[in-house]
Amino acid sequence: MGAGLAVIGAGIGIGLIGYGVAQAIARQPEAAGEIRSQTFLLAILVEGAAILLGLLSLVL
Amino acid sequence: MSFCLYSGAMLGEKTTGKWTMDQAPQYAIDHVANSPKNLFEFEILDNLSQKISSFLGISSDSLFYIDLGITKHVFLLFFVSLITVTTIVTLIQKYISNKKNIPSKFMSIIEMFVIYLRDDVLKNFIGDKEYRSWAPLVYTIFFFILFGNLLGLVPIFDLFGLVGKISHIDSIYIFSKGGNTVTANVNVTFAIATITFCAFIFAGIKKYGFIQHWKNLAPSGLPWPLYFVVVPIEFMGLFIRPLALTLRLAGNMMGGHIALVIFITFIFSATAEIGGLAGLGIAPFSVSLALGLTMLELLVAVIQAYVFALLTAVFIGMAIHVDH
Repeated sequence: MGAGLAVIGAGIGIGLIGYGVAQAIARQPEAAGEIRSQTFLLAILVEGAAILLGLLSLVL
Repeated sequence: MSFCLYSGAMLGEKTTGKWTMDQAPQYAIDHVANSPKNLFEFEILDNLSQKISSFLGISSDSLFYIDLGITKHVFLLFFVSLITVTTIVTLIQKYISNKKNIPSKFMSIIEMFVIYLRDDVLKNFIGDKEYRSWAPLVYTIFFFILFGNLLGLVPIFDLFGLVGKISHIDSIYIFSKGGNTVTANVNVTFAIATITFCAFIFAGIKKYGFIQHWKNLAPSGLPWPLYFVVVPIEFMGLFIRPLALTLRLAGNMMGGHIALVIFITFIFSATAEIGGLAGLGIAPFSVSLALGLTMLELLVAVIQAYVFALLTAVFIGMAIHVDH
């Protein structure tokens, strides 16, 4: 149950990031490299929260 | 490949008529877990671990007993380190001694990783001037994790497990139930994350001095009541960073391997619960899913190594450039 909720949250978060990135690259194709490395960072942070919650739901 | 051998090992269990559906989780856990016993018996190590533990006042049956013995994952750690060092050193030696300066096949792969990390990660996040002093750490972490992850997909211990299962030698089977991903062990990733933790604290202290570094933790110029909120949050964040690093890498590697094994156990569960024909029918789906997942694991192995290196660089950069 908890793991499922964590996955839903992370899915929405990463989906929103992907939406933003696709738009940003479409608007400024020359900045794609820089945008990509920032994307990784944001996606990692969202994923980190999801992993923490998933583990918490496993432990409790 | 790993899952083929693994399913072979499970087939042995099936033919002895012991397979039930409840065994699937146990198999998955065994696949990623460390061996319960030491692989090799060294009296010196045993004596040393007993001495250290009795010095710290820990009894031998305690959970916190410090055992220096060589278990499966410890052995693999040495193995991964050896492979990493020899591969990189021989490739670079060959490249340097090469008169024409033409990189070989593997050298160009390594060059690609190194240049990508330098341009996209190190220069971006640590800074154009400071990145040179931190590059060796980030590269070491990246290549160690990459080799550890990729070696997890090569069935070394699965092979031992299969041999032990078929020949009914329990002593081989017990400590080699498959699974040789060192990075799926939380202790290993926690050790690497601790190195990162020390590194970014050291980076801050080196740049700003001991006291100023800890002052940098909270942004200056806030109204004073806010500090009661900001300082604890920032302090907690400091410790959550290595924890998240640990769990991300271990969780990703462990999750992938557990999913692989569970897909394969579908065959055996269907056979045990419904019948042989159902097992045969589900086998193509199960194996193709596992094959696809193995390909995904190859991708994940590289991405997770990259992510760990990226976050190390980001944290060091955050300690060095406080203003943003």
